[in-house]
Amino acid sequence: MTSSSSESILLLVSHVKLKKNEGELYLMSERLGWMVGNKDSFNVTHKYCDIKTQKISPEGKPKVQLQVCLHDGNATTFQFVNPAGQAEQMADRDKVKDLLQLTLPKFKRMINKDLEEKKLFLSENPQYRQLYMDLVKSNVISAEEFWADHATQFIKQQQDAKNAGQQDVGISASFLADIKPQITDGCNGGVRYLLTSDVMASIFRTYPSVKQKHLKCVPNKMTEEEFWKKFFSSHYLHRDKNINDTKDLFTDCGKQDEQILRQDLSTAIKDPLLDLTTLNDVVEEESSSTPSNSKINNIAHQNMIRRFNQHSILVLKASEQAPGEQALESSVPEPAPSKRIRLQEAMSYEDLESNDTDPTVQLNLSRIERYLNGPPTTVQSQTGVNGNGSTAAHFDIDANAFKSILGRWMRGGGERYNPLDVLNSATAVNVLGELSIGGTLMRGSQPNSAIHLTSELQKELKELYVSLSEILKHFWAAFPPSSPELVQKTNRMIDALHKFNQAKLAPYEQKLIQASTSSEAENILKPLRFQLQAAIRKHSQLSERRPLPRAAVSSM
Amino acid sequence: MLELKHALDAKGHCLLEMPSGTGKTTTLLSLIVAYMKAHPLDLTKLVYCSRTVPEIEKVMEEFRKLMNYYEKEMGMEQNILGLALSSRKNLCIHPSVSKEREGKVVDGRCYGLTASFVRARHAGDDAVPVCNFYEGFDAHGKEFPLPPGVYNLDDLKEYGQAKGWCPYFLARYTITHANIVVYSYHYLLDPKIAEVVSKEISKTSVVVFDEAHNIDNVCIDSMSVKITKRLMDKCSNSIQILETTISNMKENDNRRLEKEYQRLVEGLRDANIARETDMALVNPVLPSEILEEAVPGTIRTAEHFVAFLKRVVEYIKTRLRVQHVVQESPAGFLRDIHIKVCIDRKPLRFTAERFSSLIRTLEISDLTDFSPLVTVSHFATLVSTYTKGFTIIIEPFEDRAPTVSNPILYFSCLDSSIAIKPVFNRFQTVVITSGTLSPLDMYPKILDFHPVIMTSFTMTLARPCILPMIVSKGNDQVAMSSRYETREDTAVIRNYGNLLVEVAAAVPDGIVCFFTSYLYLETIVSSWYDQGIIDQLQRHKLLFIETQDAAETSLALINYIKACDNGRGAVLLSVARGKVSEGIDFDHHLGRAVLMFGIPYVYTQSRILRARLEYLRDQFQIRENDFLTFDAMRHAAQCLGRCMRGKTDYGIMILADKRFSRADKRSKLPKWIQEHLKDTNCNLSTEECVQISKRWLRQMAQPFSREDQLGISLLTLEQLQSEEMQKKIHQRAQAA
Repeated sequence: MTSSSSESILLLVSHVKLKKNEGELYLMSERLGWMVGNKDSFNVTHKYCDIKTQKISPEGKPKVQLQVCLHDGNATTFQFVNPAGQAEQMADRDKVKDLLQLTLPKFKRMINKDLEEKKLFLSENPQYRQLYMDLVKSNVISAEEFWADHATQFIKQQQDAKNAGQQDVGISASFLADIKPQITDGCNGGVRYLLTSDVMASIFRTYPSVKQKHLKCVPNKMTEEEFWKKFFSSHYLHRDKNINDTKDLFTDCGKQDEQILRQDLSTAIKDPLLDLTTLNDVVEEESSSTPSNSKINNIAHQNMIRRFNQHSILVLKASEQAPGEQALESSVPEPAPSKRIRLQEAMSYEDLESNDTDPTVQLNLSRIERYLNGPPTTVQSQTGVNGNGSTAAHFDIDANAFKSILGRWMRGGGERYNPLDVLNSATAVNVLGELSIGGTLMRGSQPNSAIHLTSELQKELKELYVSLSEILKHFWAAFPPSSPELVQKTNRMIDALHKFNQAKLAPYEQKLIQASTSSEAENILKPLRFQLQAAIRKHSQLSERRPLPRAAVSSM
Repeated sequence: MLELKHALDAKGHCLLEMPSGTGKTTTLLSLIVAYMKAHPLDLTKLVYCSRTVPEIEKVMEEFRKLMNYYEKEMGMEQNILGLALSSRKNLCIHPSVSKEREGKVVDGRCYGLTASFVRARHAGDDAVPVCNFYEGFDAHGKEFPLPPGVYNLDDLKEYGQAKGWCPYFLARYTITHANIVVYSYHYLLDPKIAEVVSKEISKTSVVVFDEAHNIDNVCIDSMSVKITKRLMDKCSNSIQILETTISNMKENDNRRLEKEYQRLVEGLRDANIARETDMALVNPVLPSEILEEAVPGTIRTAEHFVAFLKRVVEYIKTRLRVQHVVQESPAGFLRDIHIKVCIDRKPLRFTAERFSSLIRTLEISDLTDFSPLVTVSHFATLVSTYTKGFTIIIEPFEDRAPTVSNPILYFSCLDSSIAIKPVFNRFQTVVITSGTLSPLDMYPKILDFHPVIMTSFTMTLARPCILPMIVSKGNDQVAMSSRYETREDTAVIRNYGNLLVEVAAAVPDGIVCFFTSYLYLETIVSSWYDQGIIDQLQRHKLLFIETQDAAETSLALINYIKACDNGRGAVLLSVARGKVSEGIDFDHHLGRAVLMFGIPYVYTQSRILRARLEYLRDQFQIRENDFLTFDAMRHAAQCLGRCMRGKTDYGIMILADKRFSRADKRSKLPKWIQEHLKDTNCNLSTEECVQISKRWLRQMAQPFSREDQLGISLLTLEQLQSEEMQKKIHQRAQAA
C-alpha cells in the first residue's frame, strides 16, 4: 500500500470479485483500486480521469455487478459478492455507484478534442509536422496562424469530418427482435420485455403511424407503460396475428401502414427493368384475376410474409430520411437513370473498350528557351503579382496568342497531321547543333560546381526550402493588398520572413561554411536569399508608396 | 462462332449453351450479320426471340453497338434495318390510351379506335374518335419505309411521335422488310399471334431463341386453355349481350348481317382480306386448311351461331358440374358433345373464325368484355382440330382443399413440339440458346427436331468466379433435403435456417434464396419465425420475400436493390419457377450468394403433369424420372445462374440438398458450373461451407485488374493473332 498511503481512502468495500478473485475495492480521492484480499498492493487501479462512465447490471440479474468503462475502450467489471445476501450486495454496489457519480464529474477531463485531433494529424503527416517544427517551434509564426492558414489539408480534413458527421446511423433491422421476451421467474408467468430508448426511437422512426398514436394517446388517454404494453401485444411484435381485431389499439396503425404500402405500389415502381408486372410481353389470359385459387391455404402465413416485407421497406425508408426534418424532401426520389443508359451499362465491358485516347497534338513552341528555362526570373516585377493594371493587358494578349496557337494545333493535329510540316531541315540541323554538346542549349546543364553536401545538410536545406516557400506562398497570395486585412497579412509575413532569416537561414549558413567554403555556401543559399530579397524588396516598395502603420503591426 | 457457322452453312438447327455474360448475344448478332452481308441471298433475315421486354431492349442495344462498330470500321452507313417489336402496351403513343397499364385494356381501346368499321364511321361522322397516329400511318407510312438503322422500342416511339405515325403498326408493317427483328418468342410460337405478326417472314431466315431453357413450356402454354366456373358465367353474360345486339341490328340494319352471310358462303378466305387492325381476334390454329372451305351452314347466320355458342357454353358448364376428376382425350370429348348436344366436329372447328367475324360485323369496339367467349371459342377450335397430343382434365376441386368446389377444365397440350414444329419446318436455321440448357440431349427429344450442332461451352476465367457447393447436412449432421418425407421435419427446417443465417453473416451485400414452391416458402418462413431464425437473420441483413402478387414483389425487389446499393445488405427469399427467378438478374453486389433450398421438382401430383409424363413416355421414350430430374435441374441451374452475369462478377452458389450430390443430378448441371464444382465440395456441412466461403470471398475481394485477365480471359489483338493462341483456339474447336 505504498502509493495509496498518502491518499485518503474515501470508501472501502470488501467482498468484491474481479475475474473470479475475491478482494477489496478502494475508492480514493483520485483513483479507485482493487486488490486481492491478502495482498498489500493494488492489482488494478484506475484514475478517475481515465474513467468514461460506469454501468451497473440490471435489476433482477443474479449477479450484482458494476462496470467501469475507460476512455481507451477497456472496461473492468466488479462483482459484488457480499455473503450477507443480494440486498447487501446491492447496497454495497449502490454505495460505490453513488460515490463514483459524485466524484467522476470533477475529474471529467475536458479533453481538448481539438488538440488531440491536431496531434493526430501531425503524426500522420510528416511533412506538416516538419513544417510545424520549423515554423512554429522557432517562433517564426504563431501556432494559431499555422493551423488557420498553412495546414490546408488539416482544414479540409476537418470539414470532411464535419460533413461526414451529418450522416445518420441507420436502424438495425432486428430492433424488434431485440425486445426479447424474457420469462422472469416463472411463478407468475409474466413476460418481461426490455425496452431501451434506442429501440423506442427506432420504432418511432420506422413506424411513423405508431409515433402519431403515441403523441395522441400517451399523456391523455393512457400512461407510457400502458401504451407500450399494448404495443407489445400488437401485430408489430406478433407478426402472425390477424390485423382485423378491432379492439386492438394499433389496428388503424396497421391499416395506415398498409395504405402507405399501397401508395408505394402505385407510385414507386418506376424502374421498367424491375417491374415484374410488365416483364412479359404477351397479355396473359385472365389468370391473375383468380385469387381464390391458392390463397386459401394460409392467409396467416401470407400476412406474415407481407409484414416482413413491409418491415424491411419501412426500415430502409426510415434510414433514408434524416430524422424529423427533410422527411418530405428526401422522399422525392431522384429520377432513375434513363433506361437506355442502364441497358448500355449492363452490357459494356470496361476492358473491351478501346482505350486509345485522342490523337496527340504536336507541341508547337514559338520560343523554345522559354519552355526549357521557364520565364526569366530577373524580371520579377512583371510576374503578375505586382498588382499593376498592366498585367491585365498582358493577359489579354497572351490569351489571344494562346488561342491562335491552339488553333494552329487543332488544324495541325488529327488525321491530316504531317510530320514534315513541323520543322524544315535548316532549323532541324540548327536545333540539333544546339542540342549537342557545346551547343547553347546544353550549356546550362553543366555541373556548375562540385558541391557535395552531406545528406544531413541536404535534408536541412530541403526543409528550409519547404518552409520558406510556404511563407512566401502566403506572402504573395496576399497581393494585391487591397484590403486592410491583406495588408496586415503581408506585414505579418514579412515579419515572419525576417525571423526566418535570422532564426533559420543564418545558422544554416554558418553550418555550411563550417562544412565547406563560404563561396559555396553563398552559392547554395543564393536562390533562397534571392527569393527572400525579392519579397522584402517588394514589401518595402509597397510600404514606401503607402506608409503603413508599422508600429501597429509590429506590436502584434 | 465456329459451331454457329457450321449450322448456318448446313442450313440446319443448332443448340448452344453458353454461360451468361460471355457475349452470347454479341456473338450471335455479329456472326449472323456478317453472314448476311457475305451471302445476302442465302440469308435474308434474322429473327431474334427473347423472353422479356428488358431482354429485348438489351439485344437491341447490343445490335446498335455492333452497327456503330461497323460504321466506324467501314466508314459508311450500313444498309441494315433492325427493330424491336412489342405489344401495343409498350409501343402506344396515343395520349390517353398509352396511359393504361394493363395490356389487355390497351389492346381493346386501340381496337376501338382503329378497327376498320370505326374508321369508316369516322369518315361519315367526325364525332367518332379515331387514333390520329394510326390515321397518319395509314395515309403515309406505307409509302416511306423506315430508313435503315437501329430502332429500339423507344426509338420507334420517338420516330412515331416525330412523324405522327403509330409505332406499333409501323413496326408490324416493317417486319416484312427489316433485316433484324427482335421480339418476344410468343410472336413466333403462339399460333394465335404468330399468324398475325410473323406470317410473312421469309423462309431464308435465321431464328434465334434466346433464354430458351423454358421453350417447351412456352409451347405448351400457348396451346393450352384453362376454363373455370367464373369464366363460364361471364360467357353466359356476354352471350346475352350478343343476342340483344343482334336483335337490335336486325331491326335497324338487316343488310349488314346478310352481307356477312353472303361472305361466309363464299368462304372465309375473302372475308379475311388482310385488314390488319381487325386482327384483334385470331384463330388459334394454323388455319390454312380451314380457309379452303366455306363455313358450314349451321352457323352461318348470326342467330344460329349465337345459339350454337350458347349450346357449347351450356355443355361445358354441365361438364364442370362433375363430382370427380375426369380425364379424357379430345376425341372422347367430341363424341360426348355430339351425343349430348348434337354438335358436330366441323362447325366446332370454325368457332373461333366465325366468332371473330361476328364481332366484326356487329361492330363491337370494346373487346375486353368478350375475352371469356374468345377463350371458349379458342378451346372449341383447338379441341376439334387436334386429336393427338392433347388431353382434357376436369377437376371439380383442388387437391389441397377438397371441400371447396372450384371446378376447372384444363385443355392441356402435352406435346411441346406441336407449337414449334411449323417454326422448325419453315425456317432454314433455328438457334436455341441459353445460359443453362443442360442436359442438352433432352431438348431435341421433347421438341422433336434434329439439330446439326449441339454444344455446351464453358467460360475461360482468370479467377474462380463461382463457388458452387453442395451442402448436405447441418452442423448437427442431420441431412438436409426437401424430400417430401422430411420437408416438414423441424430439424431440417432449422438447419436450412441456420445455413442461411451463417451465410448471411459471412457474405457481404445481397443474398438470394430460392425455394421449391410458394407453399414451401410460406411454411418455412412461418416456422423460421417461430424458431426465432428470422430475428437472427434480421440482425445481419434486411429481409425481403417474394409473394404471389407481382406488384408487391416488384416493390420488395426495388427495396432489396436499394438495400444492397446503400450497403446494408439484404436477403431475398424467392421461388424457383417464380417471376423473380425467370426475369431478374442479380449481378455483382446484388447477388453475392445464391442458395437453393431443395431440388425444385414440379408438383408431381398434378394431373396435367402426369398426363404429360405419360405422353412423353409413350411417344418419345423419355422416362418419367429422367424428365422430372431434367426439369428440376434446369430450373435449379437457372436460379444459380442469376448471380453470375459476366466474368468480372463473382458469386457463391449453394445447393442445399443431399440429393444434389448424386451423380444423376450433378451431371445435369451446366458444364460451366460443373467445372467449378470440386468433389471435395460436394458433401459439406453448414460450418464447412461457411469456412470455405469466407476464404473464397477474401480471395475474390482483391482488386481485379485488366492485367490479371490479359492473356486468359482478355486477349489483345496481338495475342489473338499469335501462333500459340491460334493453336489453342484450334484445339478447343476440335475438342468441342
